[in-house]
Amino acid sequence: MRGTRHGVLITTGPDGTKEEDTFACGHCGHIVTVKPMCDPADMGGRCTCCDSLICKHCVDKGCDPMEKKLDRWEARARLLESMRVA
Amino acid sequence: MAKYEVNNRLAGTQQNISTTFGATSVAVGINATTAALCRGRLVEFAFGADGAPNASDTQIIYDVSRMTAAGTATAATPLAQDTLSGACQTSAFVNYTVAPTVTAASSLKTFALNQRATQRWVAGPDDKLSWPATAASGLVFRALSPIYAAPVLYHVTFEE
Repeated sequence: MRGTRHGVLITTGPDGTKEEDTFACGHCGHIVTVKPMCDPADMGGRCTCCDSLICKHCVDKGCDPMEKKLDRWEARARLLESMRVA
Repeated sequence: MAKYEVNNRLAGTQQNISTTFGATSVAVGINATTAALCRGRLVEFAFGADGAPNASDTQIIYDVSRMTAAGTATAATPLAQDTLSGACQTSAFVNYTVAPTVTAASSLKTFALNQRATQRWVAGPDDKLSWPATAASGLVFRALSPIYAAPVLYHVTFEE
């Protein structure tokens, strides 16, 4: 993760301050905390289609990037609005 | 893209959290609004207890999920990070008394923290969390605790 353009989680508590790397799943947006030296398979994986890091819930479910999901949700809302069902 | 900030001390009365994600569990909600539909992206958020710690040491569960319908809350005006930005198109509501409709199994992250701890998440340039430009779609920031029964504070930064 070092050197990549991903997020950071900073925890401040009675035991001091701790900083952890995170990434947001490219398919569902779930925030995944990266444990130091962990097996990459425990965090999820990398989608070979859209080349984004994904969480373990999205592994083996095909490529469905967040942008396409947003397009779909917006199209559905427009359709419902045009049918006046919303 | 313009960045805006909102927190649940900006307006209304802070609500005590309870043992479930119930009516008063949602501190902040940000969502697209019919009058000016636009997508938004979560850039950063910070959270922690905003009351005296309970005498019994306990945890607070913080959660960020997607919402699809409005609840009852106080409207807050998001603050632009710089004065060149125009008025915010996204709606922000704080201190809910009736929780909005939260999409089942849509939690983007759940954190379990000691009541004396605070946490801050900052998105990288490539992984900001988006919500669609559909009415009332957005994100809710909520909390529960088995013992701690005072307000929590969420500070949220987003861009549109």
